[in-house]
Amino acid sequence: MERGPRMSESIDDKLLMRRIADKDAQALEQLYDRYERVVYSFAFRIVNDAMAAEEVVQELFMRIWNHAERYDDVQGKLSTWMFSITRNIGIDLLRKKSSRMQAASVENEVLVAVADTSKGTAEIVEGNWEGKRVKEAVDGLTAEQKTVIESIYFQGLTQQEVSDRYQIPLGTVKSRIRLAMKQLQRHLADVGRRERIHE
Amino acid sequence: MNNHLEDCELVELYVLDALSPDEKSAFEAHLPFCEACQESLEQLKEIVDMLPLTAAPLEPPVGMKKRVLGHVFADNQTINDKEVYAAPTVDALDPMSAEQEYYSAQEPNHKTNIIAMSDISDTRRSLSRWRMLAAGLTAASVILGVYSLELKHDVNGYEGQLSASDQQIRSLKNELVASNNPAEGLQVNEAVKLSPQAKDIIAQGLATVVIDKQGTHLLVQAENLPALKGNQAYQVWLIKGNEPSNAGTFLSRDGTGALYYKFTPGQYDTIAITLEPDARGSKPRGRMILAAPIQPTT
Repeated sequence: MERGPRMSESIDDKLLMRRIADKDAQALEQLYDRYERVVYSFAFRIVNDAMAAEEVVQELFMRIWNHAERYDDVQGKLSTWMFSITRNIGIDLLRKKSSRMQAASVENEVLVAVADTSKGTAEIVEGNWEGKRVKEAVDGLTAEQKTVIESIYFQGLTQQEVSDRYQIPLGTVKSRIRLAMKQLQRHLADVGRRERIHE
Repeated sequence: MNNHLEDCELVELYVLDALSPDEKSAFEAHLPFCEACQESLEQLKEIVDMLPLTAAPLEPPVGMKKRVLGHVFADNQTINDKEVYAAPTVDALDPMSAEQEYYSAQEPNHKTNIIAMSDISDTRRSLSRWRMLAAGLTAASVILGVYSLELKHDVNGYEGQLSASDQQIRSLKNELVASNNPAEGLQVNEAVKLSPQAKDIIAQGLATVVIDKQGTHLLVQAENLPALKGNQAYQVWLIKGNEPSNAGTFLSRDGTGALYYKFTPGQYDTIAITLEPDARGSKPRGRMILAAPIQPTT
């Protein structure tokens, strides 16, 4: 199960976080096991390098261990909190990396993608329904919309930076983002509802 | 009113974190007074929270859990030893396969990757010595391998002990290597363990510098190397500052490979093995797999 954060686990998540705040090492390990793949895959998606992705995961769990009390379960799901920290760390790292690193990353991507085939297909398919739906929804976006989402969410550019890099007017960046998000919302509304019911 | 509408248009950008710090604060100032934005924001957050799931599911690197949790818990004990969880496992290297690798590195199509072709006659003369040295190293490695297997069991929670053991291993290794010396009057100037340069790399390597009448020789052995694909090859580099010099190319078999090289002493501070797209590069282009600092051998 790739997602890790199943809704039925959200209560466990809260308990785990409380134990982690009390410095229960076993609880951190459980949390790690639950989220390792999904945060690693997400980190890799951002930094596009296996070593850097591991750095991100390490920093994430370092922060969780040291600041578990900062997670406020009233505010939202643990996965949201973890993804947001993962993204921040990943994008910080991305900004620090030299162009050399980025050039080398293409090869790593291929390596990891090949290495990954060892995983059981059933495991990927089962329980990854949600990820599949989201992927389909994103695939349904236009190439331009995908580019702005990619640049902003996965590469951490601001709207202005996107406008500069792709030489498109700021207004166009804005409208592409708005349309992209609206379309995703239309396609994924039922996924969100499903989650809430489970919760 | 206009401003209000303009602010509302930022909600998608805000939730995606696409605003500059100024724009962000402006929107955050607006948010508490706009119910429509608060509602949109809640809905949009759910969408953004799903975006990480579009990442292709990947298998984390081997041993990542140990390293990550090791660092997290070690950090608490203010232990600063990056290699704590890279348990020293210098297992036995097969000297025959090492030799085969040596010859395969000499194949004509790799000649640009100079294992110093002109040095071959010298190389052959010292090959017998090298074989003895390799045999000695193998014996040393077996002992070290067994030793480090035992260490592995204790890895969790014994960081301090481990780093001490690591030093022990180093001296033991040097001792064992040195014990091979007198027969041929070889001087093992230095034997260094090569460390993995990426956290998903489990390769281990040993670089040995030997000085004899012929000059200074470098023997590099590595195992558990990532499998080569297509034209890929491993290249060894001797580095001075930021200047890498090609010390030859080798191909691995079952993850094991070795290389022999004659060089001028005293010029380099680092030895590294990279995984290259092909065997034709004169500069490193690929990924660094193993590396270690070496002492100037003057």
